[in-house]
Amino acid sequence: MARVWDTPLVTGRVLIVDDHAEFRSIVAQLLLGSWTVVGEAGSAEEALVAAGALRPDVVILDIHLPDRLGFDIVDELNATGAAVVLTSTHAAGDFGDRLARSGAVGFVRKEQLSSGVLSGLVAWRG
Amino acid sequence: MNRRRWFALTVAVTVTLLAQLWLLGDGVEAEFVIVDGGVTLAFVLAGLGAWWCAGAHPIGTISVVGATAWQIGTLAMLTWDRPVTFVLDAGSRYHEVVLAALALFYPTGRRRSGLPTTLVVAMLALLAAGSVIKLLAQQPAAWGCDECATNSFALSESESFFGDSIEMIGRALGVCVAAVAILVVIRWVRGSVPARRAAGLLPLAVVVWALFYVQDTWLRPIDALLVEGDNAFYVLGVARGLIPLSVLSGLLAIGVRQARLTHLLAGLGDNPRRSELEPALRAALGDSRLEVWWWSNNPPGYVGTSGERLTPLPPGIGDATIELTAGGRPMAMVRLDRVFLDDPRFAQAVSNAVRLVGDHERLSEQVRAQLDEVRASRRRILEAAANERARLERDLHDGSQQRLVGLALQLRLMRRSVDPSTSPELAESIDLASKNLGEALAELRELARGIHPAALTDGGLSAALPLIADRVPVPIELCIEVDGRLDPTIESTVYFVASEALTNVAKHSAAERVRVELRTDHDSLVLAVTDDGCGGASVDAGTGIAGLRDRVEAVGGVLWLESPAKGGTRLVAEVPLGAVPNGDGAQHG
Repeated sequence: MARVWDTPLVTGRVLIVDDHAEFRSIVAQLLLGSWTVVGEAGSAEEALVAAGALRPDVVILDIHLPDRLGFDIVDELNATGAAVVLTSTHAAGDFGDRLARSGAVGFVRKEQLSSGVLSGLVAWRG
Repeated sequence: MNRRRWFALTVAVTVTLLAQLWLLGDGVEAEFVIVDGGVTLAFVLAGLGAWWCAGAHPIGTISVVGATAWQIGTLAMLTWDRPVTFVLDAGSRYHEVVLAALALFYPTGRRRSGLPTTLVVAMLALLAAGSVIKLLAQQPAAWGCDECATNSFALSESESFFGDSIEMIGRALGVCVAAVAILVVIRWVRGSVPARRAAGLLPLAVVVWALFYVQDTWLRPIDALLVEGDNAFYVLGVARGLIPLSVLSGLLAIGVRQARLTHLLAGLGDNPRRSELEPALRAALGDSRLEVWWWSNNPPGYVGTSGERLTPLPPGIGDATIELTAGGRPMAMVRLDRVFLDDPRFAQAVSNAVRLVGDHERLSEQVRAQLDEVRASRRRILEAAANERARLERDLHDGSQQRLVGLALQLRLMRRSVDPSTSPELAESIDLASKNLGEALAELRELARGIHPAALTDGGLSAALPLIADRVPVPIELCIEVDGRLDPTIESTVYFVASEALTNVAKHSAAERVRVELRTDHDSLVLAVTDDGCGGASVDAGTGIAGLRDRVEAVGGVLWLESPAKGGTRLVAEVPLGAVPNGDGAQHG
C-alpha cells in the first residue's frame, strides 16, 4: 500500500511486539487502512531480530514481554531507526518516570490503541 | 554451732583455763607453759578451723576433745599431791589416740575401715587398760614418796607390778604410734600429686611425733606414762602441736579450693561454655590431670573438650570418675583425682558445675533451634503470601485483563464498521459498551495495583515508591538513596510499610508535608516516613501499625514509632539486608 502523503496523519510501516497473538492480530486489523503492519514479534529477542530485518518506522512494544521488559530494548530498537510506542494493560501512572526516561516516543494503554492515537504519538515526537 | 560442739568447746576451754592459771600460779618455767598451752591452742584452732571451713566436720570435734585430753594430763601433774590426781591421771594420755585418729582419718574425719580403725581401737584399749592400772594399782605414797597423796582406790600396792604393766602398755602404744606413722607415710608415697598436696605437713609431723614417742616409750617407758620433765617433752610437744596445725592448714586449703569451686560456679552463670569448663575446674581444684568428657549421641560415646573420642585408658594413680546422666541418658563424665571424692561436697560441686554447663548449653541450643525455626517459618509465610500476591497480579494481567483489552479493541473494530447514520442505535450501544468496558478495565487495574504493583516487580523500590507518592494527596518529599534490586520479600515488605504509612498520613494525620526516606545503613535497609501532622499514633491504636511491625519483624527487622501528640509522626523500619534469619532463599518467579 502506498503511503498517503496527502493526509495530515503520520503513517508508516509498523512492527507489533506482544506475547499475545490474539492482541497482535486485532491491532493489525485496527491499523489496517492507514498503517502497514510489516511484522509481528512475541518476545524481545524476536522483536530485535525483526526490527533489524524489516526496518519498521514504528514499533508498538508491550512493556511486559516474557523474556525482558520493553523498557530495556527501546534504545536498541531506536538504533534501527524505529520510533517506539510502549503499551501495557497497566496505566502510565504505574510506571512513573520510567516511561519518560525510556526513549520511547510515547505510551498508550492497550485498549486505547488506534491508528489515530499512534499517528498522534509519532507525530508529536517525530 | 550445735550443742555438742558448744559442750566440747566449753569443756576444753574450762579445763585449759584451769590448768594454765594453775601453771602460772605455781611459777612453772615459761617454756613448759608455752609448749603446754601451744599444744592446746593447736588442737582448739584445728577444731575451730574444721568447723568454720568445713561445716559439720568430725575432725573439729575430735580436735577439741584432744585439747581437753591434753590438759587433763597437765592437771594430773599439777595435782600430784592431792588424791584427785589419781582420777585425773587415769583420764590422761588420751590425746595420743586423738592424734592417731587425726592422722589416720584426715582429711574427711570419717572412719577408715581396716588397719586404721584397728590401730585406733587398739590404742584406745591400751589406754583404757593403763587407766585401770593407774587408778587401781598406783600407790606412790607406799613407794617412798612422803608428800604424795594416798590413792584410796588402790587395790594393789606392788611397785613392780605397776611399773611392769605400765612399761608394757607404753611399749605397745609406741608400736601402735609407729604403725600409724608408717601407714601415713605409705599413703603419702603412693598418693597422687593432689593427694600429697592435700596432706600438707601432716606426714612430717606424724613421723616426728612417732620417732620421739617410740624413743620415749622404749627407752623411758615409765616416765612416758607419767610426767615428762626434760627436753623430750618439748620436742614431743612441738610434734604433737604440729599435727592439729597441719590438719588445720590442710582443711583451710580444702576450704580455699571449695571457695574457688563456688566462685567458679558463680562465674559460670552468664554464658557458660563446655570448652571453658575443663580449664576452669583444673584451676579451681588444682588438678592438672582433670578431664571432662561430654556424651555425644552420634556415634554414641564420650568426646573430650578438644573433640577427641574417649579411648578406655587404664586408670592412673588416684583416678576416679564421676558420671552424670540427664533424663536417664549419659551426659558427661569427669575424671579427677580420688582425693576430691573423699569429700562428697567436692563431688557434688563438680557435678553441679558440669550439669549447669551441660544443661545450659543443651537448653540454649534447643531454644536457639526453636527460635530459628519459628523465625524461618514466619518468614516463609510472609514470602508465600508475597509470592501469592505477585502470582495473582500476574494471572490477572495475563488472563482477564488481556481478554478484556482484546474485547475492547474488538468493539472498536466493530464500531468502525458501523455507520452511525444508518444504525445510530447500534453505534450508540457499542460506544456505551466500550465505555463500560473501559471503566471495568480501570477498576481491574486498580485491583491489580493494590494486590502487587507491577512497578515493584519490574523496577523495585526505587521505581515503586514514587508511584505511591503520586497517589497520596499530601505533598511528599522523596529521598531514595537505594538503587538496584533487593530481596523480593524485603522489597515487598518495605513497600507495604511505606504504602500503609502514607495511607495513614493521608487519612489521619492532617499533615501538610510528609518526607519519605529510604537508605541503606551498614547492612540494613532503613525506611523513614515523617510527617508534620497531629501525631498521637500508636502501635496499638488499630491504625494497622501493629500489622506493619509484625511484617517487619518477620524479615528480622525492627519498627519504631515516634508520635507525640501535636508533634508529627515518625515511623522507621529497619530491615537487615545481609544476614536474613535462616536464609532459606525466597522462591519467586
